[in-house]
Amino acid sequence: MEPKTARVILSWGGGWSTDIGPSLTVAPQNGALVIPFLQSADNILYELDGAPHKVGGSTRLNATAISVGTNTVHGFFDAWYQGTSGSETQLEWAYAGTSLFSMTSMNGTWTSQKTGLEDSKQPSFVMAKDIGIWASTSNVDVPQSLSTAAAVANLGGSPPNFAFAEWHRNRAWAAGVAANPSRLYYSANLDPEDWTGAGSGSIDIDPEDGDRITFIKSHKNELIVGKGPNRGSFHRISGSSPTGSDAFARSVFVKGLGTINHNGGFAVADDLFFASPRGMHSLNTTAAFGDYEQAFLNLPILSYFQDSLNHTVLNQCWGVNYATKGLAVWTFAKAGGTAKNICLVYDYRFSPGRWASWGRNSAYANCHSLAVLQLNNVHRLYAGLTTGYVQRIADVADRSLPGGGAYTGEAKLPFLNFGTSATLKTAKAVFLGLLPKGNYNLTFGTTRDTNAEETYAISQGGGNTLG
Amino acid sequence: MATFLLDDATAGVLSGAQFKTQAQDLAGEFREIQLRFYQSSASQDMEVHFLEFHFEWGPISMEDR
Repeated sequence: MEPKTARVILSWGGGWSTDIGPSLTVAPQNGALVIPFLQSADNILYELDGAPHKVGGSTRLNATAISVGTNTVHGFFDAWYQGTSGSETQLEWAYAGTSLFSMTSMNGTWTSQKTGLEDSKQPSFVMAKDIGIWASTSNVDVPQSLSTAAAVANLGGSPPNFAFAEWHRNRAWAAGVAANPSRLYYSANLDPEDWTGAGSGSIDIDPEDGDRITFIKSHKNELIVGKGPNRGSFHRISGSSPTGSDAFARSVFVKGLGTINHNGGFAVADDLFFASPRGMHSLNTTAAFGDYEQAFLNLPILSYFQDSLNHTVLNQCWGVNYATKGLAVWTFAKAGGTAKNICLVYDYRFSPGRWASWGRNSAYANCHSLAVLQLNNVHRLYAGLTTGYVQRIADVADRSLPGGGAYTGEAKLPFLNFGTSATLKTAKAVFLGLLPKGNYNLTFGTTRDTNAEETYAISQGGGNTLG
Repeated sequence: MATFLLDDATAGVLSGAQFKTQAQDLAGEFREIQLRFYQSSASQDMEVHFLEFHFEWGPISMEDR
């Protein structure tokens, strides 16, 4: 005979999942029930005990919108120049509309430095020997050097018209050349502006295998080369020079899983996270398990990724390691549109990591591009929008968007039957452990079986102490 | 509604970590129940750390819902 009254402590034991199911049919143990997944976790961050916390708001970095071409901030970058005088220089660079812009030390003012570029191409930025290198998927615009004097010029040394580059073992490496989509290029030693002299060259990576090089990253003393977007493969480039005892060598790392683009991959601790046409992945796990779906980072939301995103623009995604908060963040377009308007957020402080979304049910900042910039030496997350603004996101204390816009933070549990659906239960009360936020309410909702949701206003004010 | 407070967010009477438990009466029968929290207002935050749910067991029933 079960006791008539039950008291159950519910604790947060997992993140957002679309694929586990709508219900949790587990009986409490010793009066406690861990909720291992959430039906929805939109516009929230997790505290380390798993508590959902409404994600911070957003403020504009530039008060005046960029107005050129589509006004879209396709990509932006925090460039640090070390120089030789012992004082470093911080510049931000943005590719917006048809122009390249610079900003000095996060002062909020974009200055046009080059006009007449093709609009809406996928850019890349990398630092190489105190030169910022910008390149894009344009077949017309050539790679540019972005100097500490905030000047822009064609990258010297007759480089190929690559789309993205990486600084690895004292050379600039590049790929994404339309005429040779599987060719990996490298510059002369210590000179990203010499692509034809001694020590420069190229390596063909399985040409005409149905894919092109989509990603390169220096990782653990090797260059990781990802191909995609159709069949997928990873390759490792070892060695430090074209010839000699430590000559460059290419080995196949993984086949069957590759990268969707250059900007969707980034380093996290001793791993690389990346986006493929099938989801988000860890390189370490991929090396162990290949394309085995159980090992995908986004296993709990695989069906959301496959069914609810616009896959025609997946190759325009941006991903970033927001290490300050332990988050891997990717931005995508929801199905039905081409504008990127949802961030899929993986909190890797947990094991396994916990997913959340920003902008899925309730619009948040529409993050077209992402980057971590240093504001007063603190690494913060910023987004480039289609409206000519770069905005700080996620850690702004005021939970509002520029202009006072609202967004909804939401956490929804699965249906709970407390171990049996055969027995009718009668709800009596709920006690919520809250961090007081102010003299205003949150909304608590209950949905009993097929009834409409009932909602209650819960005060989040401090009030009086126990007396 | 009863309110049990371990601290005061504004006055900081007890200082240190601030926390409170807020109670809400519920009613109604269910076989399965879904709980949801949301905060839709501009400039307003939300952070829920735990829940304690109270209910009474009823009869085993084959009645259609």
